[in-house]
Amino acid sequence: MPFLGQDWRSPGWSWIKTEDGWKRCDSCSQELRSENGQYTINHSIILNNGEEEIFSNECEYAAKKRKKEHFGNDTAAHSFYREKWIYVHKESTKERHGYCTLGEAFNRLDFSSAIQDIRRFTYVVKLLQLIAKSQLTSLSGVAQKNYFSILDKIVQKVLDDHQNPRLIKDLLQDLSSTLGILVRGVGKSVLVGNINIWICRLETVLNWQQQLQNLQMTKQVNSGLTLSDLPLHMLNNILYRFSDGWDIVTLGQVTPTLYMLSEDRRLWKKLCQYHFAEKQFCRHLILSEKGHIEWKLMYFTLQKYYPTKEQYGDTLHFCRHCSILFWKDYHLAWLLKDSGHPCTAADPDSCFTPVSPQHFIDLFKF
Amino acid sequence: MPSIRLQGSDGEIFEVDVELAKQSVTIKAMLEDLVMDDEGDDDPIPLTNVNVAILKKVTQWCTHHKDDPPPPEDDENKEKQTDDITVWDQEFLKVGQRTLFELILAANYLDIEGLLNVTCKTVASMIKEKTEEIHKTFTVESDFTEEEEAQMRKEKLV
Repeated sequence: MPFLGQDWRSPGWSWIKTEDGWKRCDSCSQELRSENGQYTINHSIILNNGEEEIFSNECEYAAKKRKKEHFGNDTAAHSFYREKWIYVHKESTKERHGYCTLGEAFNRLDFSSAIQDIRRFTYVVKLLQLIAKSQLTSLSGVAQKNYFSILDKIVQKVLDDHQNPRLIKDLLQDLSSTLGILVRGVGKSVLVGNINIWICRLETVLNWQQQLQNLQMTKQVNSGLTLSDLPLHMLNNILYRFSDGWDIVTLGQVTPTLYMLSEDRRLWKKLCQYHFAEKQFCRHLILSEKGHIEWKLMYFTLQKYYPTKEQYGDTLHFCRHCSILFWKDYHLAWLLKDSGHPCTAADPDSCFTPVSPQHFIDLFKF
Repeated sequence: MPSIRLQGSDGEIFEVDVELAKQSVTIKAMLEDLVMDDEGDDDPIPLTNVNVAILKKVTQWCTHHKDDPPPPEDDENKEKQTDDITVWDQEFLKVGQRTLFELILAANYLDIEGLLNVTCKTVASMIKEKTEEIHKTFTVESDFTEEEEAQMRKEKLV
């Protein structure tokens, strides 16, 4: 393994190869150092006292045995230190030469565990979608491999728990059209790797789209409560939580009660006010015969002209002081008072800004 | 720790810590109305709409959330957020649909805002982005006839 350290002064790390790629091995390196330390002490004993030869052989054997146990024990000994932050810099300094690319950030920020968290899932999917639209060729080969393996995990997750299917279908649609253009139009000089890999990827994406299309919800045999057993104000509570008008329309087609609730003017008014501004209402005002505002029609009209509001449970954050992009690790923050990256600011919280998916892409544009 | 006794809809008695029980606005109001003296302690509070199994689940949730700060005033933006559920709550709510709906009804009856919020968010995120499968996902017996359903599907493209 070639030397890979943070900058030219650091001693480097120990690495272990796993199915997800190379992982840095932090506790191993510490133990190895301590074992090596003992080893050198024994060695010095040998040098000083020739009669201790037998003793030194035993020590050597013991050290080797310990090492074997250490590496043999897969789960217990290896703790993988996964840093979830990256220093974003655009010019060279004395210590670091070069700049940080989108691909590096993509590899470093550990999206494969982020998708398991429901709060980060839609954010990561949106990021992948933006990359699929325009940035796929700017990723390095490893980053592209990483991209597709994360996508695979996402598709498997959706096939398992049936949540967010429309989101993923949109992503795959964008990706398949980009891949189609790349394979047929752009040519081998731009694409990293053998053209057959790309054809293979396109086929995989088409395959996934087919699987999602065939996704059949299993009929739940439920002898107890169902959705329609909930009282009206509960159903209303749920309707008011949708941020996409199509979800409201779809739910309204299930029973007449839900239909009546889904036609409520206040519901659509709230939805319009959530996504769009007053100015935008005035330009596309639709009035009924009696002079009331037709909020439902306005929603679908406004949606054609203006982008809808994006809101995510959890996003990446950028520390303006350290110029570092990171995930806030709430668990660590509570345990160790660590915000998710080694922050040197006097007042950390004031330096953090959330990063929208588009902003993330823009950070790496030159 | 003083505790009070609650009687579920199936008649079974369940004992719970008073401070935990006060997370339920309904129980808190009942306690303030009742005269609590030594003899009165023996009378359990009847909760006719909640069975003991669900009561135990609710207590489990309240125990974990007992140190939560009170939720902020109704934030317009937060109303549409369905994915800001903590990991513990996500695991807690990985239960069957029947239990989930019973939890919603219990949270509504006992008036526990946090639990109601998180259960409704979960149901909303289950319904989102599905199309005709909602019938199957929630085994809702459709009240519409087949012709009416076909007509509605045609009109869907309004």
